[in-house]
Amino acid sequence: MTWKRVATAAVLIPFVVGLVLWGSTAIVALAVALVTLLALSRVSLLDGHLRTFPHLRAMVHGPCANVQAFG
Amino acid sequence: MGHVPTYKLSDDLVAYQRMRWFANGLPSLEAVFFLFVLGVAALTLGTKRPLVEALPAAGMSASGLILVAFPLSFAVRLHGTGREGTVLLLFALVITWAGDSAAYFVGRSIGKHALAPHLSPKKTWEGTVASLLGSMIVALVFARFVTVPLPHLLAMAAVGNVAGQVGDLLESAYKRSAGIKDSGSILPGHGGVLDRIDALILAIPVVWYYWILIYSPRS
Repeated sequence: MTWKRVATAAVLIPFVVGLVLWGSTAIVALAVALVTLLALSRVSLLDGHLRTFPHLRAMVHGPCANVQAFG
Repeated sequence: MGHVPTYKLSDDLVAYQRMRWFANGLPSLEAVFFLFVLGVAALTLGTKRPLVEALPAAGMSASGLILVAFPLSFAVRLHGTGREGTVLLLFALVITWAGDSAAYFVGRSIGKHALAPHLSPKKTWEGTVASLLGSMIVALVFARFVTVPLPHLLAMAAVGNVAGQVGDLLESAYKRSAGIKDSGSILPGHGGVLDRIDALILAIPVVWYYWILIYSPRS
């Protein structure tokens, strides 16, 4: 399990560092929006009996992650 | 042009950027929340699902917006405030990664005293202290690349790390309350995306607010 953890980090960390340092704020905003939506897809499963409104999630949470994008 | 929010300590750069962005007609945070309210109203009244689900579903959606989407938007805010903000965003990420890694390896090796067994049985005080030290070592490295003085950087690393660990415990609490162990498996060895970003949810906003409220750079 540890080697998987290290391998995943070895791939993701350089990618994220490059994105932050050399990507535009718009690209960072898109990445944050994507991560937000992926994370929220898990939030909705935290309660096995209830579901969130998926359309609401997509409609609002993406823009929210980008609300400061072009400041 | 609209209300221009400014911060307690004068930060002309941030105030100017918010003014520009508002003037360009792009959605403000207030507009996003209002859009959310409209969405809840429309979906609650229009859904064919049992009405008993409406309020809990709206509550879960709201928690996602407030506890995940809104805090992560600070990453964009940091990145958009110039070179210093970009490096500080990287700083927030690296102190969290370093802290997580230190806590993981030290906790596995010598961890004996449980931190919060009712929330997360594997977390230990030894790992927590190692995490804090790991983040402060990162601050020593980053001191070469930012204009923030070292004492402030160390303090930022400390509060960011503590905030990150609180975020981690918060996510553990939510998983416990839902009766599940993992919140996904998309990242090999790390669990789900939520597991990976739970610390960042609090760490990034804390770094932002420390930077602009306690150490306020003047451009």
